[in-house]
Amino acid sequence: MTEKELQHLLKAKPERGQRAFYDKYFNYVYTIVYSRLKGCASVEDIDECVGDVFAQCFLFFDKQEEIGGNIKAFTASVARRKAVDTYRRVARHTSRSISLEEDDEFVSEEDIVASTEQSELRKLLYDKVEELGEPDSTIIIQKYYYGRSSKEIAKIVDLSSDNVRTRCSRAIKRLREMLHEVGFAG
Amino acid sequence: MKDDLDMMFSRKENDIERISEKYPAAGRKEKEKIYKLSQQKYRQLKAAEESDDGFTVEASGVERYRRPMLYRGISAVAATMVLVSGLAGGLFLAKNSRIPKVDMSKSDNAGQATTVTGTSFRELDIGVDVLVDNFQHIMGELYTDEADYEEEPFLTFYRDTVDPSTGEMYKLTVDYRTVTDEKLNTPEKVKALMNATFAPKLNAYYLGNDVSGYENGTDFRDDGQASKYIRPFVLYKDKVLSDHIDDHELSLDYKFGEVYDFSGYEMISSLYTEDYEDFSGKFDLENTFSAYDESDMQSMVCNRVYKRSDGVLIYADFLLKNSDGGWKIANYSIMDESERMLEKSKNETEVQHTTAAESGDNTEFAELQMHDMTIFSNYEEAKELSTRLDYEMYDGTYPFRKVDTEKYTGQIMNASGEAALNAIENKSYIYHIMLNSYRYFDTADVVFEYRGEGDGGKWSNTEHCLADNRKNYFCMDNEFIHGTYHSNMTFYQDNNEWISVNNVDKTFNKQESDAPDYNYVYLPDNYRYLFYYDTETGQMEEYMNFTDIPMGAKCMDSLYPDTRYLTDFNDWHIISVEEQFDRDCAVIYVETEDYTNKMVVDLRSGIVLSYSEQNMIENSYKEMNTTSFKVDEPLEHRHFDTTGYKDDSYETPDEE
Repeated sequence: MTEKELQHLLKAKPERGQRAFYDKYFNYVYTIVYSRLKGCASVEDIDECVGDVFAQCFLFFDKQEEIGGNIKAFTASVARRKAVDTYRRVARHTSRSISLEEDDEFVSEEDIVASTEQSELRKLLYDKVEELGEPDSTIIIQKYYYGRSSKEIAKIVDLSSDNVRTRCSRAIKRLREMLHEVGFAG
Repeated sequence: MKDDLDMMFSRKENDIERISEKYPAAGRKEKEKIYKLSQQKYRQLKAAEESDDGFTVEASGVERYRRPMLYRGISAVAATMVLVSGLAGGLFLAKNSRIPKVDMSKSDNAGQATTVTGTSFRELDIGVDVLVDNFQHIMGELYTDEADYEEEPFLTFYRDTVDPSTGEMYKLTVDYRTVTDEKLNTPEKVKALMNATFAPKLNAYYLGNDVSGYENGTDFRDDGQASKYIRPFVLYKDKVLSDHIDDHELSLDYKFGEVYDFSGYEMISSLYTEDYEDFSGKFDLENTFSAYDESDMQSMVCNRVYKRSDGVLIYADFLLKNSDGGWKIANYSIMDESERMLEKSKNETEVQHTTAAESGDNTEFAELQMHDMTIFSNYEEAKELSTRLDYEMYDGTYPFRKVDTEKYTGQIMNASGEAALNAIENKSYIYHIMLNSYRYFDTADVVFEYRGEGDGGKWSNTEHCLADNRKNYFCMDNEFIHGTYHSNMTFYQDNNEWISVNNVDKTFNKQESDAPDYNYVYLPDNYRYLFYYDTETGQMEEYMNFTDIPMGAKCMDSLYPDTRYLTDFNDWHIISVEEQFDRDCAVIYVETEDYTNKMVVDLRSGIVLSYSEQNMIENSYKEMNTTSFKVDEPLEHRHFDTTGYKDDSYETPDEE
């Protein structure tokens, strides 16, 4: 579904439009929220936050006479804002200190060089993960990006958790070989 | 490598883009759960905004109040609840006219009573936690491994018993050893803990009389009173002795002491019901220990679900009785997932056999569940049941069988008068058939025409749907016209392959979906919508719905009706019956403060054949009519031919 179709559907048939919007942007919103709350919030907090993002977007769409502009950019902005809200709430309850520089860390010149190298390495890593093919790519991403257990991953890729564990260790081995082949000695 | 990977998968913007485009962020169940959460939050936000603007201020007291179904009848009991726990001395048991406040701090203070009182289920839960801890502690002593015993048997008695495998009587040797556990090592302590934990009969089952007057080696086989003495625990000259059980597998409750570890489990849910009359527990104490009459005691059942660290669910059901001013365990049943499945299938088979014997050919149909809204007194309680149902709907806990469509269709078509037509049974049937239409028709080839008008102007929509529910196949041509906007789409679903085709710009989008086979996913009707009372506003809110509308939520107005507006039976009634396309149909009318809908529903399939809907909140009107209708006829599947179409499966919004 294109942006235009989505915009029309959100106004003409709000309920269906909301569902279509959700289906289209769920991965994106979840990943933004997860990447910001990883390690400091529970799965429930992350789910709640993603729910807040969509609720806020639905309400916004309700109020617009006509929906235009870049929906994706708007959604990402709501997701980032809500993630910060959730982080503050969680930090308050767990007595953690709040880093207000969440998104704007000070970056030195050395950091920039290191960051560029890291960026290239990450691109390489993602390319190689993709080369693993499915379901191994998804298993690796779920395990190392989202930190999910084999049992949780099993539900996503429709395999048994034992099978996930086996595939995961084989995929890691293959990934290591692939990275070595292109000169990455991590 | 693992650490390298952890470090390298970052939250940089381009990583997020890449990952979210290529990989699912969550499983289908989690995604659906969050969608429901979003809807709930959205409704709350919307209501709050409208209320701030003064548009939708509801008078307090207007809300129809229903007692939470699962807790009905228990609240009054809970209000006077006194739970006794810890090392109770027994002194306070008869003196509950003044109920002390909640005070768990004394629980470790040997010799003192800890009295837990409260008026909420949260407090009741805490009390049941204590009962379970006590029970596990007692059983732990009974089922200690032989290697842990330092002393030889202290006393040996003999009695008759029945071998459960052969049914024959044999001589049982019972070896007792001295109890050294600090919470159980004196007669006062063991009595106090037993009294605080067990209702009288179960207490008598576990703790026998004082056997100080009997010599070591006494043969109780000729003693009719042996059962009063030879119990798992006995008292002997100021000592407490426990039975050493050689063959644990033969014991009713060895798992409680030896296998289960409730303190290490995560509790998923804890529900209280008054279904105590049908409680089926480990012990049949009805006709034993007749000196103790429990028939007049208040009773309730606590159904708990725990999760073990390996993810296996443990179902623990406790029959609780109010004895001497406190709730005590009177019986229990504990099983893991596989045992429970086995038990359920065994019971189902037995029920089917019994029914077959009684009523001949009437066994193929399920009993229609009479409608009752499931409303909780607060958000947390709704959340607990929801979490549990989320497991149970996929694990076969509730197998689906059709109800007798012919019986209810005939009953509705022949009802005389409005009252008969709107009998709870008839309304429950219509609700059921609409909620489960997916399960009541196999194939459909239908054309629906929609027209609507709202803030965005007039629109029209034509849907030609081909559905084969048993084969997870669905195809829909959809032509949508809204002002100058015109779209012509076709959706194909063939098992897990989903294709969305734009027939105007000749593109298609192909996806793999892990949508489950709904033929095997089911919850009873009354669990489909869960409500709760918001403790701050007092308003009833929907917590969650398990409507599991299949086929990607397509045809929600027709083939797989959205039943949201039918959950409150006060909001709708059956106006009349009529025939459309030679099908027996009911005409129903839904009316709430801001919504009306008149629908014609096919009574044998649950499909909505026409409707006219007015939504005052959205200021919209829409109507639907069926122009072609073939159900349960042979259906040829249509498949997408990509010739002349461009694949834009990975198109992102910015790239259009």
